[in-house]
Amino acid sequence: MSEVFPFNFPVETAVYLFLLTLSWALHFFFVGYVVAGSVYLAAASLRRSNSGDADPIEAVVRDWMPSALGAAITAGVAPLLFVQVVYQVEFYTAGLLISTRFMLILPALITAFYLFYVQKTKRFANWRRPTRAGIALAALACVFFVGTTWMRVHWLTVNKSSWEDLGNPPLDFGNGHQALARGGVFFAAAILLGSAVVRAQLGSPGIGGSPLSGAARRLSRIMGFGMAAMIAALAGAAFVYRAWPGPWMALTARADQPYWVLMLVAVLIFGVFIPSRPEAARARLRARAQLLAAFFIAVALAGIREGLRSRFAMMSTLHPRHFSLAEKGGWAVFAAFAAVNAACIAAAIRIARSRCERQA
Amino acid sequence: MDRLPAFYPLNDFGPLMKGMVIGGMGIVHVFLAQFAIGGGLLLCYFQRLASGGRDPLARRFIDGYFKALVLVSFVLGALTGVGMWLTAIQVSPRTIGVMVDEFHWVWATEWTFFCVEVVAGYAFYRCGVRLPDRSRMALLAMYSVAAWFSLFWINGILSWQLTPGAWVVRRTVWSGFFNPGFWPSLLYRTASSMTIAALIAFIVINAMPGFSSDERRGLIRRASNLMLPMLFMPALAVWYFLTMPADSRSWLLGGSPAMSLFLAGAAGSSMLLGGYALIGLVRQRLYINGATATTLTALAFSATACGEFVREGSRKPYTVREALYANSITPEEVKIARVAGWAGRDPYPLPDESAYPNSQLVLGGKVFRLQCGVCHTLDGANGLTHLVGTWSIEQRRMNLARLQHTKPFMPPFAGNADELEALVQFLGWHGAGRPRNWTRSNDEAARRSIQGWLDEAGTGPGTTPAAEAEREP
Repeated sequence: MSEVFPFNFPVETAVYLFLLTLSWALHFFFVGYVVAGSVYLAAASLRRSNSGDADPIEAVVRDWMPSALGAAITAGVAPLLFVQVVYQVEFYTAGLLISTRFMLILPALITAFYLFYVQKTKRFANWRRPTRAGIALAALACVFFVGTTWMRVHWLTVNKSSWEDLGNPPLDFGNGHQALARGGVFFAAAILLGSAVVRAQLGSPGIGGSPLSGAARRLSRIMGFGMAAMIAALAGAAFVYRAWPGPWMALTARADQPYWVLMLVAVLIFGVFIPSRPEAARARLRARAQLLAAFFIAVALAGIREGLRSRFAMMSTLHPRHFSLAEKGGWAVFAAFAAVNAACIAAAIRIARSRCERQA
Repeated sequence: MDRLPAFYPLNDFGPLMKGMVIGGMGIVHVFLAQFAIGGGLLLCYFQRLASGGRDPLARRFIDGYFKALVLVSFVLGALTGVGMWLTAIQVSPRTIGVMVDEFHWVWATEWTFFCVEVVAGYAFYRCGVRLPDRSRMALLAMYSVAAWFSLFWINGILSWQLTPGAWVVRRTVWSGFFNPGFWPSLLYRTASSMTIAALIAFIVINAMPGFSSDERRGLIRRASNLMLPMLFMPALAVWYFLTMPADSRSWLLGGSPAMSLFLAGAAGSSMLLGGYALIGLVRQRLYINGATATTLTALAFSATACGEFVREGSRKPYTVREALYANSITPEEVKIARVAGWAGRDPYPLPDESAYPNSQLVLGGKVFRLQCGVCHTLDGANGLTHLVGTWSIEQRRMNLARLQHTKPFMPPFAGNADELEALVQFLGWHGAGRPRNWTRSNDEAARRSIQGWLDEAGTGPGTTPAAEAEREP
């Protein structure tokens, strides 16, 4: 156990890294839905001449996108906090080096939210296709911009050598091939996460209505595509990263290996439970297993991502700082309220769901 | 020598003062966040009326009001909260770094409440219409308590900046969190939140279709009750004022005309608002239309803006009282800088460094960036070119060397004589239109004068008795 990231570090550093990794996984769970959903809505707006509720997947995604983005932003606050604790200088410097782009995250997210909200209004369905496509594509562009900006920030935090080119920071996402490989893995994971959540929503009365055979078939195809994309992206990433000894050694380090295993197991579970026929036995249980697998994918991605960053950050120099921060106190209050508030969140969801289901 | 802090590749925002950027973001965020907090309390009140059957319109009003809350406060409020972090990193990374270091568990705790607020809020938004009164009340109560606790946690961090109290000695989280300004600030902000929520309720009531004139009047009268805590706001403001350090109070009472004016603006706007609300709405039960409600809300925004300006400004010359100056340099580091210099260690080049005629001007540019740039621009808002433009070169040397005594809300100069001369030369060169050639200053007599003024000024702030003692022969 002590050789697995982040527990291969001294306890103070390990605690902060654990919280960073876990909270990022939670954040990515919602981000996956937003990314996959915005791509689906953009594709749907280009594909059909009339936006209606004929496609239950489109209807449920359209309905939930503003809330999903809200959840992604809310969940994103915690990793944003812990990254400042663990990698303060690196993170701040990265944000300052791409100052304008860093600050544009905010208007991009605000724009995306309202564009998603517009897409769920009844009026939207009656607009002309170019207008609808323009709105859906603009929302997708905002999401793409925010995602690639965070990728760039991450790249800068692990590549201090790039800080020397300060007067004229490069505009690409770091090394082009590496960025493409990382982006590919994230996108494939987003498809799997998003489709797993949509399946659960469609199968949950009161949220998405009854799963329809056509929708189930389409969802199966999307999940199959996501699986293929994930395998291709992982293979591509392995091919690209092998050329860079530093990152390759970090990615294949023993501490990160459990995350690769978790990733493979999760993808396998995901594949086993892909809906094969519209009325599969124990559909809800199978959907939940797939949802759990999707969360494992998010955890595996977070572990690999942060494990890689920790190799470049010279943790031995950061540990004294983490040690002094841990001594400041307040963690017990956090732990207590985290438990209480988790129960409150569960209660709020139960209240809303039980009523919605009863009504349905 | 002590371990030196990290330097950051700081940017400038052109003619915009950094304080204006973060201040603008902060004011919008505070207003929206207070709307969310007060909104929760208001909704609980109306849900109670609905549950008891005392107001048949309450339920309909809640559903309309909640939509406004979600669309405006949930999105813009939440995102400007994240935006405060992003902006603070751009404006003063070291300050936000110190705050995160000290209070990261408090922030993490606040996040758990924020999650409850968002989940309960969205649950109500999606299912509230179909829920029975009891379930609605449960969700609204969860939302409201969580929103108020968000204020509770953040208020401790914000009030700590001005009145750190026992933290200065103990350096523990809770000695800083429960600081002298904590309770008056918390109660004042709670009352303020309820007022904002009521004012926005007036707008929503007027904007919602389907209500008759009498029904609107009835709902307005109910919502006005949320403004009653305004009665306590003057006393809470005085309590908060008394917890402030003496020098901070002096800025507000005439020591700084700008701050006195903003204080007057905050107090005047609040009194007008309070007078209208308490006499007109609560006592005389006047009707208020949408236009008037919007005007009053704008007045509340103005009061919030002035109040936040006063709160931020009264911390000068510190950003964390007695621990970190406004330019993110600690009092101990000033002492180090006087001997070994400061800006000379900055590894990051200036954006247009190759256009500088000599290395002295580059050093001066870095001194400006590190020490002045957080509150001043060169030519824009609070521009140094305007402020020192009429000073002779001797005046510049002396006034900057004795900075904390020239203007007591300025921090002491953090650097050696060479760095100060570099700053003086940089300001002169920039004021002259940045000519291609500029002779390097090697005036040994001037250097000795600067050193004398620096020694005379000391390294303490210009406002404390210790600094006064240093000035005594």
